[in-house]
Amino acid sequence: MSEDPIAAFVKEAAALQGLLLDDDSLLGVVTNTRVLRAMAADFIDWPLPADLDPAALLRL
Amino acid sequence: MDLTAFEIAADVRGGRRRAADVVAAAFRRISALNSGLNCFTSTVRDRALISAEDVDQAVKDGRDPGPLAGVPFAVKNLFDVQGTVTLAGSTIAAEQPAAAANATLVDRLETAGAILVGSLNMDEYAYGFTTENSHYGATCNPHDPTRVAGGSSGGSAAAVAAGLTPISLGSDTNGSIRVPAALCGVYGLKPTFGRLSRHGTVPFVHSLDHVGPFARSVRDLALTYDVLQGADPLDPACADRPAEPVAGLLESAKPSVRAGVLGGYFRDAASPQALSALEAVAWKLNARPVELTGAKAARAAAFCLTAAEGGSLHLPNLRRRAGDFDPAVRDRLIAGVLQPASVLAKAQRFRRWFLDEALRLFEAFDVLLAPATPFAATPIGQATTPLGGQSVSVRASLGLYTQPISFIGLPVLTVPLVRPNALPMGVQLIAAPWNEGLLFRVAHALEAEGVIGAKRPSLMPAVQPAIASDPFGEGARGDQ
Repeated sequence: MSEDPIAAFVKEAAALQGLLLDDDSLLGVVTNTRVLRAMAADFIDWPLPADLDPAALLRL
Repeated sequence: MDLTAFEIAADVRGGRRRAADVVAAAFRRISALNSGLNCFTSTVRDRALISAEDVDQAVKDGRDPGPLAGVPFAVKNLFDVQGTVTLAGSTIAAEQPAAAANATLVDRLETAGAILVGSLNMDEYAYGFTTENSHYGATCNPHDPTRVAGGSSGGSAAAVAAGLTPISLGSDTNGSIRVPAALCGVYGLKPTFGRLSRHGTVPFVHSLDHVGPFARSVRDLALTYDVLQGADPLDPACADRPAEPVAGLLESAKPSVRAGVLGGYFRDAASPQALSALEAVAWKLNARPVELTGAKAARAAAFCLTAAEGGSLHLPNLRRRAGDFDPAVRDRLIAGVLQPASVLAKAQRFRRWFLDEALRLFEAFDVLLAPATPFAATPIGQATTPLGGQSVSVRASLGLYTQPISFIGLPVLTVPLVRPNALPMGVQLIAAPWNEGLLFRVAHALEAEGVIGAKRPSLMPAVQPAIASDPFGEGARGDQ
């Protein structure tokens, strides 16, 4: 059976970042990665004006 | 309940009460109640007694002891206190040396005559909404000690709700002042991003971090906020603006405001209790329904940015000693740093767009209303709760309605609803940037009309004798 792609991504990306994950932590990080991906889906395709510039964001 | 900061300062300044007696009473109350609530992680008794003597000497000498003379206060343990290790809710930071200097806001309160009594519990590195800290224990809600106080500034809200101190300081990245203020039934101010100095606090998410005060009355919150204000070159995010005092505005005529009650996302998953609290305020202000487009996406973008920035900040320790983190915090931080860059870049661009959407609403409205939390305090240890027909994480969901607003830095005053025989619920009063003064005027009017107000918790029977004998005179004053 092929490995869950999210778990495979987490293992590889964590290793590239120098992060060592034990089994418990891997499970927790995978769960949280799923949550973040679901969150990102809420805005990643949000239509924004092409010239929208976030640079002045904090100049309230 | 015990005396307000306003009453204490008036008595101390007028020579009718000694600061030393006020501080001694505060420590007696902390001794009696803290073991059951777990608000404090450390106290600074010697320092407080010396400060109190200085205040009393100033009064004796005819010098101005400051507008908060003799008022005890405590701070979330991410504020530097000279001579004390700044924990930020972690055991990793506990290995660091004691702070060499105070945070700017600690200095400002002490300059105003307030007296620091200790530091308060929080979620590890401010990443949580419940203050169930795996290292230092859970802070209990004074209204029901089997329930959470909210977080991450749970110790700050619970200490004020229980009357351990009349005022406290906390921080708010995604709702960490507003959520515990709501669940503990006190007032909490998350000011405009850049209004108050964060110098000398442990950061969580630089682009989202705010600091602010808690209190049991609008007047106490205003007095505290006024002495905290002012530019600070030591915090690069702190705006170069003069202080805009609000306490003097409270007695002015009731403001005529155009109020809007946020619908859609801000109502869809709210419990009947949250909606009832919202309606009580909305009715009093004749609020009209209004939609803030993109709120759900804004919450999501704040969620992703928080994990990424927070994870990045702690990456060195996550690499070297991940086992020393609270597991729930660690796994979220690690997942955060693994996110694609495209997600984070889009989140920042969306943030600009969403701010413009919100600012557009303020052309038609002066104040916007939203629930502070979707539900009341949950039992300590309960991981999930039903919400909107689903089982959702308590820790994550408590910030549903606060995250979209802090994402764009708007000022918010969270107010406690008067709800007899019920757990506290709070409502967010939201204004345009730098318009905190209007929020205070609206809150003061609502408080005067009896719609909002901090309710005295039913304290544990074991502490009654200690309270009855203390010089605050609470035993004689009875419930209010």
